[in-house]
Amino acid sequence: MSFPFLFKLTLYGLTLDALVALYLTDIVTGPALVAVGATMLASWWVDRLHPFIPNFRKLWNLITIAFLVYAVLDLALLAESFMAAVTHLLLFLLTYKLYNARHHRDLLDIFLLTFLMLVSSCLFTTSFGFLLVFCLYIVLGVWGFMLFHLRREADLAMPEQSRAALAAPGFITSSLLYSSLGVVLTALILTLSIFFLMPRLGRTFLSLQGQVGSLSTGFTDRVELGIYGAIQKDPTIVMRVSFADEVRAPERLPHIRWRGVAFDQFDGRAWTLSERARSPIRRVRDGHAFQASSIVGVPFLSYEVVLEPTGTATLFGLHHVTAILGRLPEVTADGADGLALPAPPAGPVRYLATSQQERAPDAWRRQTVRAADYPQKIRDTYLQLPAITPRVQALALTLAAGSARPLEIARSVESYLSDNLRYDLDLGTDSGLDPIDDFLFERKSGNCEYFAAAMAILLRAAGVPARVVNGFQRGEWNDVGRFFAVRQRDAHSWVEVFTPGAGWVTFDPSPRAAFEAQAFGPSGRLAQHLDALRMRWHRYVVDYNVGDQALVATKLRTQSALLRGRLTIAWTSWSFAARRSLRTFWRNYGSAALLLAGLLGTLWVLGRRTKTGQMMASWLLRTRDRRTVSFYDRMLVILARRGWSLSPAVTPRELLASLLGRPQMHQTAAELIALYERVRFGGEMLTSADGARANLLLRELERAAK
Amino acid sequence: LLYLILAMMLSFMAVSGMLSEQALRRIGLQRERPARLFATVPGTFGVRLTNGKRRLSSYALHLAEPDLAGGPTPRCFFLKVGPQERRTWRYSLTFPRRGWQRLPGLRLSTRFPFGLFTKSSRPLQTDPVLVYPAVRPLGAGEIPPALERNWRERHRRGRGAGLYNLRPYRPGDDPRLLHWKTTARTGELVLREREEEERARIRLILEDPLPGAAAEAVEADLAYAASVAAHAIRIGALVELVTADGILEAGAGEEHLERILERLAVYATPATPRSLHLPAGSTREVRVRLGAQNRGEAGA
Repeated sequence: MSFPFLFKLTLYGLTLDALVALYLTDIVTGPALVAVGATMLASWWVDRLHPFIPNFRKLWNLITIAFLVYAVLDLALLAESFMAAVTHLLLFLLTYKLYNARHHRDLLDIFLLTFLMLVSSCLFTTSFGFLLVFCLYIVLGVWGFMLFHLRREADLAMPEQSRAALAAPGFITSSLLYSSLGVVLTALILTLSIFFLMPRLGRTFLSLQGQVGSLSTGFTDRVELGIYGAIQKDPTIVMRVSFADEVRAPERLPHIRWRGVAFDQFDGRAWTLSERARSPIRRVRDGHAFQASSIVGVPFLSYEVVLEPTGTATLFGLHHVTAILGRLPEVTADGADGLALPAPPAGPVRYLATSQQERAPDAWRRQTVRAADYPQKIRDTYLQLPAITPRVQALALTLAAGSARPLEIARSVESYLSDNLRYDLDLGTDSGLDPIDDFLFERKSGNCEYFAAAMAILLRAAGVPARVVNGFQRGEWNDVGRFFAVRQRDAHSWVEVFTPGAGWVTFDPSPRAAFEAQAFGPSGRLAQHLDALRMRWHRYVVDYNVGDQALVATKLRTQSALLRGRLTIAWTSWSFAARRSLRTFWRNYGSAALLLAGLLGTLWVLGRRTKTGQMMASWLLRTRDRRTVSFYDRMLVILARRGWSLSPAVTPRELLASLLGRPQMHQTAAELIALYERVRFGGEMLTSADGARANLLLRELERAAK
Repeated sequence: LLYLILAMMLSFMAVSGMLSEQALRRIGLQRERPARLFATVPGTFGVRLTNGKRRLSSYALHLAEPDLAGGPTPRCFFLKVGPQERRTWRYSLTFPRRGWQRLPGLRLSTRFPFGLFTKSSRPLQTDPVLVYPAVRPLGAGEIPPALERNWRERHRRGRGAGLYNLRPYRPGDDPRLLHWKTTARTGELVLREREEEERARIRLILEDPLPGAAAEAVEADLAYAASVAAHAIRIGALVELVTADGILEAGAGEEHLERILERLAVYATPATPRSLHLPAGSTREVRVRLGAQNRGEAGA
């Protein structure tokens, strides 16, 4: 591959990489990006275009003026945001430079523009894809800058020969490729090391626009029945939840549902929350915010939630969240224990939450409750009913069967719904009937919203306070990353029933387990690995903060202390054993060892001081001297085998003269002797290339001498 | 993610430093000096650059050595030096003054790989070099009369000390006159013939400058004296140099010229003129009063 082609390829690779980075931000739409990318790619053949466009420069001047007018309008009126307008400007500048790159400065501008595009994209995306784009940028960036530097240096230092020198076939060699690969790897390792070690000075909340996702309609103050129908086919991940190390097998935990918002009012078509006022929950040091008091005797569960930006401000957690920890802006709670941020977050949100595990309230199952036993507020809010049909009312009374035990009634309704009605995501067309009546008696199938709504209405009709909760079911357990991956299709509705003793108790009438087992198979191993990677990307890159650094430092300190302790113990026991062995050895062989040491010492002194020793030393030195020109000795041996005189008085040149009759041998020996003289008398070092050449010549000489 | 970008930039800097270091590692420089250096005359130097690395090439290497005379700095650029590869660069340096001089220092540098930083080696310096006074061809009016006589016809075979000719050895020749170097080179016995002693002999007398003499004038006269000596030697004369520092016995040939030039190169101007002790014997003299621009001649 020639240098000019490689350089151009790298430059355009960087450009495409920067475009993909912008694509991740959603600032530029896919089709627009394809159009811009195609325009940029067409500049590859700009040299061929020149002859066909006579006033190429003037044309670009006109285009530039037109774009400047557009840029002003874009900034003032058209663009969604300031950064979007800036991005459009960057794209134009890059296109301009690609079509008009004449000097080194233009090429440098292209590098700079791609870099700015990368920077601007990192402000707007937290996608895992950015990691790939970023790594590719490092690879191409290192290559591109290196090749650009070589080109610039060559052009400046030897303007006339630079093209030929760079395009020379031997210039791009495998060693250059390997070494640059090493450079890229080093750069990557360094980048990651610096990234994790760099002290975090704080967190910048950029005024980014919150993303409008499909969940924006599912977790608001008013939710229409049937909204989940669309959501529940979407495999997009909403959040990932991992449990603390103390929880041995989180995947086996029962009753895991991620509670979002609860509703108390139903108007026959939509659920609403009557108490809309939200109160900020108490904030304490280190970002802790306690929401509710704990229930004595019920175990706690701690877990970490990484919530994707899907357009909802709702925070999700298990039943009865008692504390929440995270670098979050203000967290508010509504009247039905729902937690939320002030606005949908623009990026992923990470928080630690603690909940109390829900237990089946067996002790309260047989509790008899009269209407007057419920608090007034509960009665006013959670017994509210819209106009219901007589057969719904009749069914409620039938299922209650005159019982005064609310939990038994709830269990009865739950069983009726799950046993007699079918779970289905295909809701069909609106028949115009009352939705609950239609669901219970006509269609007899629906999604979890209908099941939950029907149960709540039936319970209220039977005099039992109930509310509908929207959230997510447990999600898929990722065995690789050891977390629950909760997808939009896990969106779920269930019911909470109030009893004066046990409080709010969860019931789930939807028979969706069998349906889902058939509809969605488990994710493959590769998908699990990828998702675990995404989780780590968010956990350790996007949301890596000073707290994590402190945690790592603490762990390191603990581990090093442990290691030090182990080493100390090992050293102590080893030195003790060694001392004991040494004592034993000394007792048994001490005299013999002393004698041997004395003998060796005497021999060494004699070797140094006597003539024989000096001769040995000089012989050793001679050997070392000869080592560099040993090829000459080997040449003599080869020649001696073929009968040439090798008297010590014969000089190399005389030896060479005697080979005049054998031209091939003479030529080879001449080169060897020249090398010998250079090294032996010229004070030059014998390089490995010289050594290799000498070996080759010796082989030739041997062949020629036969 | 801005931290990631920042980390990338820092890592690029670190990698740049490491690669620059790698590019200069195990690069050997050997300087070749010209046999003679004359003041104000460009001398051709050579540098042999060897990449001692076994596998890695070095890229974008710059070599430079400032010119002492204030001229443009000679520079050389090697785009790529392969592993174990040896490259040579020849360039000219001009020394403005005579005497012992230090070379400015050859510097190897690179901005590889990104052009962010310049990495330089320590300047390569060698032992001081002796710069002779400038020697130039003498104009017609500058040749002293002592050198204009037709004495060169006496240059013939004789029994003197100077070399007259080399010829093959013939039986009966004095074996002590064998020229061993040529004999060894050609493989045949070669005899050295000596020349007639009665060749021209001049005495070049350098008188110390008078107080207040301009330094430039002194240098110009030293250059003139060197040129006269070179002229005389090249036309075969025996030249004796007499200065207040001492006397250099008469001699001929390039080696003798070297000795004369060395004396002239290290001549230091005294505060007051010193007296000269002229040896006995009559000979042609070329007398140069340094700084006076009034070269004269006296003959015997």
